Amino acid sequence: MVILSPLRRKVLRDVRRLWPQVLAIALVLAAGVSTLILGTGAYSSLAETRALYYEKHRFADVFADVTRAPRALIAEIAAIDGVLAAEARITRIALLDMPGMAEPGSVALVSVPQGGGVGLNQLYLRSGRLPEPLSADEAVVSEGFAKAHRLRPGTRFAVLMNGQRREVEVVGVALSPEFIYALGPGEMMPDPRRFGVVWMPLQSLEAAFDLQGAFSNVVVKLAPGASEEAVIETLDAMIAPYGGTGAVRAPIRYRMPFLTPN
Amino acid sequence: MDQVGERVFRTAGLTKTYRNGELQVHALRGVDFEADRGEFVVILGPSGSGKSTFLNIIGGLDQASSGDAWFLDHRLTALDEKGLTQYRRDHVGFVFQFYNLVPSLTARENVALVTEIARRPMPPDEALEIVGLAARRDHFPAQLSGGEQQRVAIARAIAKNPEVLLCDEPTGALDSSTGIMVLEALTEVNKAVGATTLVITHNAAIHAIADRVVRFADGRIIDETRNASRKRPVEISW
Repeated sequence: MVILSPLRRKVLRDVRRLWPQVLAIALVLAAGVSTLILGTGAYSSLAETRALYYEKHRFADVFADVTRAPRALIAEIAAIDGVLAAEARITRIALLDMPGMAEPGSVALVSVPQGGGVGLNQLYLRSGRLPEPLSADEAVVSEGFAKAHRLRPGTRFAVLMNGQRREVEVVGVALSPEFIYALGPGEMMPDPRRFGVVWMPLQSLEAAFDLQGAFSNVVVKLAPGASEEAVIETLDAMIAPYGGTGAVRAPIRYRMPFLTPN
Repeated sequence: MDQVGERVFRTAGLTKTYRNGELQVHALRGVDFEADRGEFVVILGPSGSGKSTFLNIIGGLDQASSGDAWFLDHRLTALDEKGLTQYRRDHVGFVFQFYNLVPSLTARENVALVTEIARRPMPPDEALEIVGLAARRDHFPAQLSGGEQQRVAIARAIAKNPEVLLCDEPTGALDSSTGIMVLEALTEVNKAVGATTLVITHNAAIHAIADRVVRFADGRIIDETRNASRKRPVEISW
């Protein structure tokens, strides 16, 4: 027979006598602990999912705008110590010309990333397909914008590019790691009706903006362990003669500190 | 009892001052006191006369402001908190006005709480036998009268075989007949264990059961008398 010390007996008797309170306290503690586990679990799961999404779609680390830089410069940028990949793009803002829409709207025109899994900021197609590289009017639109205007593959809409009205044909609807929180120029809150992203073939945008053999935006993926500051410094020096406005890190450009708690 | 006559307690010029903001309260103003092994001393005095403060200091519950207090060869006034705790654990049994029994333990288990940590304890049943509660050892405090609860508290105090038993108003919460039963238990313990017993009371009728009576007033001992013969508790009343 096990002999219990008087203090242990006291505890056992107290627990037996006060079992409703003990049970209530245990339930409160269990609820608290499970909430904590659920919360931290959900948070780490979301963080991992986001990291995986960025990795899978080759989300770039550094972004820089230029007025017009020769395409040959991209090889030099790719050769900067610490740069894993660099891609020249054309990005421009164009005005939206939607029938029945009184308020002003705009779209960000972005050249479609290189195919074959080498391009940065790759698109996740929700429906349709990517534009044919040589087509002049095929486009993929961001999902929020497509929903706001009921656009789907086969629909056409007009935008004012470089002062000219152009009709584009939607061939796909996509998500991009670059535009999770898509803000139009001067906007504080996302409004998918008044601002969307339109990805078009590089050649089509080159022609529209008179940028043959040139680019207006460069995105850079860094090698693991590379110094972001050093790469930005070198990149800034390279693009300065071409109207470079200064390279920025992805978290700053895409408001990740705002996205993270949300 | 071959050690009768050995000096157990000795204090010299013991003072205790409490500070309350600007106000200084002199609880003890120089107490010289001695007690021998096995002696039964009753300490009388009105409220605020310093008798409880005195008992707390020689019991190791409080520290003096100045003066010296000795227990056998231990200088109590030189001990730190840890030393005083060890002194209380090894040598002192306390009985207070309120019994401080653990409600969810039986009489026997309340006594066993002490015997588990004591240096040379007696079996809990034996302690309960001395106070006349052997038959009620499995009762919980709520099933015992006030006098019985106080006797369990006495059994708990003596179960560690202490050299001294310090009682602060042990009958203060009891009626006359129950109080007498408690005093009977104390005198029985004093005789059986041979512990030097100091009983604080403001009830002057109790003085007759003591070997010696010490009267406190205004933080000092103002009178000491030795009884030529001790009465049994049943012979007194109040």
